[in-house]
Amino acid sequence: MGALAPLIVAGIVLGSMYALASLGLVLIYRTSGVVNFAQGAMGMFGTFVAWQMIVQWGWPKPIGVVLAVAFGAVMGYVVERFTIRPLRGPLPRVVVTLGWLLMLQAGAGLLWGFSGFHDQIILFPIRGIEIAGFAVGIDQMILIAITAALAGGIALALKKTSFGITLRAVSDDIDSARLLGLRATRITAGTWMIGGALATLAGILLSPSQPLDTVQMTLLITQAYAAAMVGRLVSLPLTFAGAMVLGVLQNVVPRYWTAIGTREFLAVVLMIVVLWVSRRESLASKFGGGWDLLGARAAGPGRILPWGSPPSHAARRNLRTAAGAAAVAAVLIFVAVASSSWSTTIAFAATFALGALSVVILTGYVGQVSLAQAAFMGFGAFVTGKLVVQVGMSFWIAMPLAALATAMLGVVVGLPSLRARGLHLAVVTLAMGVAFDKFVFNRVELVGKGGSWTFDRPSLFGIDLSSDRAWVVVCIAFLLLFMWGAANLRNSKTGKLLSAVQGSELATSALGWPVARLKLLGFAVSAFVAGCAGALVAATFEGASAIPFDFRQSIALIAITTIAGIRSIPAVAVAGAFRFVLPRVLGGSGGMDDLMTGFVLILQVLLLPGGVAGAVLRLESAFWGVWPSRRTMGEEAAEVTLGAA
Amino acid sequence: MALLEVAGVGKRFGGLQALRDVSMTVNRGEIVGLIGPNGAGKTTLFNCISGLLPPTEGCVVFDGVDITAWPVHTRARAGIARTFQLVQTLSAMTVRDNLAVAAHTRTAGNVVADVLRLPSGLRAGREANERARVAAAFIGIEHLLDTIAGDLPFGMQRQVELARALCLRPHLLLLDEAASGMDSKETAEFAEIVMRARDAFRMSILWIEHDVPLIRDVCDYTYVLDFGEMLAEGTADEVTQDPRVREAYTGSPIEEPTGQADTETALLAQPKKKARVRSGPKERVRA
Repeated sequence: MGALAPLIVAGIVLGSMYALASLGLVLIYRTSGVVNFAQGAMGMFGTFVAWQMIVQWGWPKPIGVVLAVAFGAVMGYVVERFTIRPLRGPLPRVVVTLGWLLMLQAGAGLLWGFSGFHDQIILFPIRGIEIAGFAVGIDQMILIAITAALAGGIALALKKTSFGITLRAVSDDIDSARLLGLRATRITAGTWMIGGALATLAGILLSPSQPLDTVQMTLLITQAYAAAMVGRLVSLPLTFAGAMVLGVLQNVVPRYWTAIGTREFLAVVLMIVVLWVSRRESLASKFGGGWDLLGARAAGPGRILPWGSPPSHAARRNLRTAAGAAAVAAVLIFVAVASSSWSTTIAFAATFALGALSVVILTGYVGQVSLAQAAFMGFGAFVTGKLVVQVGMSFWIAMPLAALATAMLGVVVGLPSLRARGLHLAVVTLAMGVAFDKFVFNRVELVGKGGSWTFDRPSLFGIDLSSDRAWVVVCIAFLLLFMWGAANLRNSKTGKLLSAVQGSELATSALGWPVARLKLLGFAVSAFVAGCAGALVAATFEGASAIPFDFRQSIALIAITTIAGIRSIPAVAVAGAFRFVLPRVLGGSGGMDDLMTGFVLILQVLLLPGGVAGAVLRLESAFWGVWPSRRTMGEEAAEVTLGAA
Repeated sequence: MALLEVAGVGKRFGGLQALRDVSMTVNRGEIVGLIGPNGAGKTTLFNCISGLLPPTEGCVVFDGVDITAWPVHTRARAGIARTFQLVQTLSAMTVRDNLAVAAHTRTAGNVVADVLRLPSGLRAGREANERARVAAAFIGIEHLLDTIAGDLPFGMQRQVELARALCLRPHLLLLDEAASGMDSKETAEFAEIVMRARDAFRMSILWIEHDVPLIRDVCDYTYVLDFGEMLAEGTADEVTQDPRVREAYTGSPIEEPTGQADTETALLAQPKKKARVRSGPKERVRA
């Protein structure tokens, strides 16, 4: 016990930081109905602002901290005022926070360097004093005291002040609050400011005990969310308790079980336990099944697809097919004439497009959000590598086997979808993706001794495919094959059942279909596609390693697929080009791509419902002189998403 | 043997007893009405029958089999179809696809066949579309098959829900206020379609409705639910004459029955759940 005491104290300190971050998360959720994915990124950015002032410029610490926390509040206000307030319904808003996550993270990386050592911000003396036989740091006691004071203050303010009472009214029912004449927008903006300030404060206080880098602190969101989930994102005291439990576990468990990534692993375990013990959401719950990315759902199946349009529009279909064939031909000609480094770029674009296709299937068809798609890709890559290198299997056998294994993994990762929906599912899968990134992809059994498997690109029927020009053709062929399969799927029995789950879980089950099994089927099919994509990525790199599959890739995947059009199969090609071809054309440096992705994502959600595919559909409709129904164009998105609010 | 037997069903939500010892039967070929003031527990009872909510007590027997523990989709496949008070069309899908989702319960096919466009998958699609067309034609919405369901007005969406339920080939159809919001002409047409469907598909129907004249016209038997308890049963005329039923609707016992017309007015007046504690509506009804 004596040995454990310091660990428990350190755990409470860590839990205090989680508590600060998650209190902001809960307040924002209660007023805006949004899980703020950028909470960790906002804290990270604010912390770097403090670091700039205190460590780089040598300003006095109190001034630096106060200014940075104020900066955090301003950041929260800007996010709310310009990108949250104009949107209706939780899901587009959540997508916007994903955009901010990418932007803040890439922006901080460009300003202050993506990784590498940053001097810590030491606010308080790290001197120990002895209490009851063991040493406690003065800094630790101060941190705990600050957190307790802030949490108590917020709880008191919610109970007693008029701001708190108004806030509770707004979180209860924003429309009624408005009708009562309460200034709901002001309250909402206030919670975002508090959220930004608390996240920044948590980041600054956390920095002496954590590596100060852009990724680690962005990931604070998964820890904060795990804590908030204990309070079902509503209860502040339970959230506080959850934060403490998580912090203590994360400090105590490694004493008995040392492994890289334990911290992320434990956050996922906590989430799963909470989901398990929480009441199963009734089918009759008022939430729809889906993830409506501003009219994504409204742009019905078969409307955007070349292959899926009603057969009566033969001319239209022929034109679409011709346009598709011309695009493929143009790419192949370009590959033949351009330098071979372009071939690699396009091969990566094709594999990314395949990853985007897995998002279209899962999110576009079934309406389930997964932020673990890059983890699926990585798993597929590593299993392929292990089978090729260790078992000596042919790549062409290893790839489908790995994809099948990934499909099974997809079922496991999909299990929370039976308990959590929409944005909650998004965060749970994000935490799982992070756990894969940090924990699973560090297991020697899967990734090999050096963390990677090296193998050559395969040949097929004696044809050597190892050159870049040959390999890009393979990647494009696979992409087209899978796009064909996905289009078949959409127009088939299975596809209609999967879409039905997105439309109404209630109706689907009342029409004789087991919703849970359909969701898991969606996860399996999607993971299968992602696993193949991962295997192709590995072959393109001539080796499987974790680098191309970190959790940010998952966010980029869903962000870019949303930009391109989340229900559209041809749009995945646009997604691939956006990720790999466009940055090369623009000549941006590392990190610019994420910054651009985040920025374009926010603009798209605000200005261009339905994404690129939606815009193309509008142009096409103008060409044929027919306007699709309002619902198809997503103009009723506000209504639709309101229903889910 | 009755097609559906509900025996002593109770449902408790936390401290609220939504249903208490409710028993009822639906015989083959019957249209049975279920009426009661708002909040009486009618939809909760429907959810217990269709499986969306597990009852806390009692059992539901369908076609001689205790189905109390069965999940929703199994009951649907066994032949219990329903419509929803708040329409649950798949709003982004065409009417044809809405119907096909139900019709596909009777087709073969699997994911692999679907992805690879194998003949078995294509055949399943054709079969389901044909069943959908037949059901739509029966209801009279064949011309709407290619329309996006969410674009239709609500009255039409109710017809889509009905056609979709028929695609399941049900033995028992549960209609939850399927005619609400329709004018008298539309209601009459809708009732006509339902009765025709009952005869053609040889189903039984359990129908929740507030429109008492409609219930009187179409139902063979009527149950009245109030505050989660079965208050009365009998033919529509019998239950509307029942003083307890009239008390439930008007909020106080009416000492001097003044004839059928008045009863009907009282029943047609918007039923007030909390009429017992309010004086306003009570006096208006008396006047």
